[in-house]
Amino acid sequence: MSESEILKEEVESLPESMILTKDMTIQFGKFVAVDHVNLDVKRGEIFGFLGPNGAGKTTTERMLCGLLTPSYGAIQIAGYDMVKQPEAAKTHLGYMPQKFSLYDDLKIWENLDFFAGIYQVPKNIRKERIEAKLELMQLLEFKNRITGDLSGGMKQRVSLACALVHEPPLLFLDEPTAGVDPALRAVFWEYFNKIKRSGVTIFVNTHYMDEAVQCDRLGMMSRGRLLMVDTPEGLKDRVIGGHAVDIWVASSDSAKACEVLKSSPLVKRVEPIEDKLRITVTDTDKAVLGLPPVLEKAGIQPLIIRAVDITLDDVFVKLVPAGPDTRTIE
Amino acid sequence: MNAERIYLVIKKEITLLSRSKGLIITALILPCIITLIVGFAFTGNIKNVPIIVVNEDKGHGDLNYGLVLTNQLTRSDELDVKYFGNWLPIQSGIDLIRNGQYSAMVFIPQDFSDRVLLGKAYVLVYVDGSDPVVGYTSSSAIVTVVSQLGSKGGVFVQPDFLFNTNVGVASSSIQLNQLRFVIPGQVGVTIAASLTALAASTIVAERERGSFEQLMVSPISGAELLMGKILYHVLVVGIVNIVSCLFVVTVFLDVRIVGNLMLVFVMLFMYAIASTGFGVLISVISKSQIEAAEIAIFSLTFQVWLSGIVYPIRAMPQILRPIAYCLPLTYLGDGLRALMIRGSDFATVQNDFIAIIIYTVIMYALAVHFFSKKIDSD
Repeated sequence: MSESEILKEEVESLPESMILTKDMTIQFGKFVAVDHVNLDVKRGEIFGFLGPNGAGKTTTERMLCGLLTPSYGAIQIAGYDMVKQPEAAKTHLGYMPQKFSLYDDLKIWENLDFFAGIYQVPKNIRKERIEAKLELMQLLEFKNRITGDLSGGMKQRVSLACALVHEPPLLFLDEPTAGVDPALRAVFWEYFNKIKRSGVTIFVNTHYMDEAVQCDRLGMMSRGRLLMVDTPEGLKDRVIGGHAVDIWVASSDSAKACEVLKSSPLVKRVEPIEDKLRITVTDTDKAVLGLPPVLEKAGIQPLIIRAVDITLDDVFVKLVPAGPDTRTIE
Repeated sequence: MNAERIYLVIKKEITLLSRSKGLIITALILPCIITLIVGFAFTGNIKNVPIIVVNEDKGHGDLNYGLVLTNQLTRSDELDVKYFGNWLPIQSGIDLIRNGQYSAMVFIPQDFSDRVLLGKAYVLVYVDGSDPVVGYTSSSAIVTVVSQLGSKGGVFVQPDFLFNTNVGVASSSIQLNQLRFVIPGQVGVTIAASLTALAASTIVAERERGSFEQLMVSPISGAELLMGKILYHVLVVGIVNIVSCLFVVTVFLDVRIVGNLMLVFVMLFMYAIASTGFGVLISVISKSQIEAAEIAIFSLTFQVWLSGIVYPIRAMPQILRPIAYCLPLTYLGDGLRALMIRGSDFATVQNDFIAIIIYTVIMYALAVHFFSKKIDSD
């Protein structure tokens, strides 16, 4: 078998698109769980995958990892067709499941050694390789511990080390920090960034918007369809329409302030919300500096002006349609 | 298939086994302990045991007590006189019993009628001693019929239990005889239970743990994983079970294996492969370990009672017999009894071997079929 040769390939020799799908679709009976999804994840990026529960995120990830065969469409992983060349494609990916799924009765070292062998890491470098991964995850001193006796956070680290033991150029993370405390979540994202810097492409399924912000690009999924793919900022721009500042003025000035602000080139939209004006702008900094003089010129005294943080939660809520799911075909 | 991956699966299973005291006890130690503990004969109402009657009696005038006896044997519910003749060398009769076609032979000598009138009559009775219930039933039925005959002082009869004499262990020979009845079936059931139950949990356990998914995203193929699992069960657990059971049987229970020990081992080994295949099939089609355990236990219980190792198939209602002949334990029990106790040769048990092989092939074909379907379906 030739996996060991493939493993030696330089990251640079890999294709530009590490995940490439064409109209990937899967149907369970009459239920279309994933509907014509076209993904193009570039080499070296952290790609976040967002969407409400039941949107088809996990099903998509399972197809990308080769656990499910699509009913229609094509999947290329690192240039290999997942359906036609599953072994070559699988050699190029690492997978860290949401739920810890290694062998509890094996020592940390034995778990990694087992998977290193399954992935055919060349025998002469296997030991160093495992040591390097344990070192990276700060687990080397615990290598002879029985995995089942470890704490949750340590188990997650073992799980990640195991997903990396064959140095896959593409890493799938399925809600890697679900149930992990905030401090450890930060540590994990440090790991992910470290791995990314070494050239690894990361595809991460997540529910946490503060994690999504750290991704290079995000895919937003809902009801089996991929709605939008963009950078976190791009998503905010496209969905919310840019940034926002809130300005408080005396209530008697409110109507006049609206008129004045609308005529400013810095402003895209003005919307009175309760006692304040929500102003959509292209650039927050310029708006905060430039809008008070505009109001003052018109004789209106702004009471408070404050940049608003638009979060991905706002994007999420706006993008995900309400109402019943109607994915069933008749 | 990649040999290293298969080896790694086996090594991993061995390490997991070595870490689990419970598994070491149940999988490796319990089988021979059970074999050691169980040593009882079973009794029951048996009907239509096929026997040979050889009547060499020349009669006394019009009287032929040999024919009278033959008629009464024919009327017995327990017995079925399938072979009747006026002449047959005793050794040929014993060979027929050895081949498993008949369970007993009644030999009526030339001067039987004369001796009956003198009150000094005897018949020779040879019984297949390798089958517990049949052996006792046929001998007691024959003795009952024979002893009702002669009006003056009766007829002397002492059944000779073939293949079941423990040379040199005279002191406890009765107990050991009973043990010899039970042992072949006992060893078979133990190995079936051990391997089927263990293999039944193997894939479904990986699935419950989640490691199955971890394996399925890796380049290991389903065939490699199954092969590793099967080899582990057969080569590690299977051989330990067979060797320890045979050791206990011969050393502690003093049951002498009359036939070819190698054939006994090969037959048990093939049966271990078959039992593992059945267990793997259960594991592949079950959704949880509990479900797998239920299927394993109930299918084994069913086999134990219907395979003829406890209760003879020929005593079962006609409608159940085809089921009995579908069970691998039927052939193992039959084959082991022939090899271990009667000392039969390969020709006698070749059909048992063939039946076990067919069963094995079916089990693995089904396991692979459902396994490849299952990987994709959840």
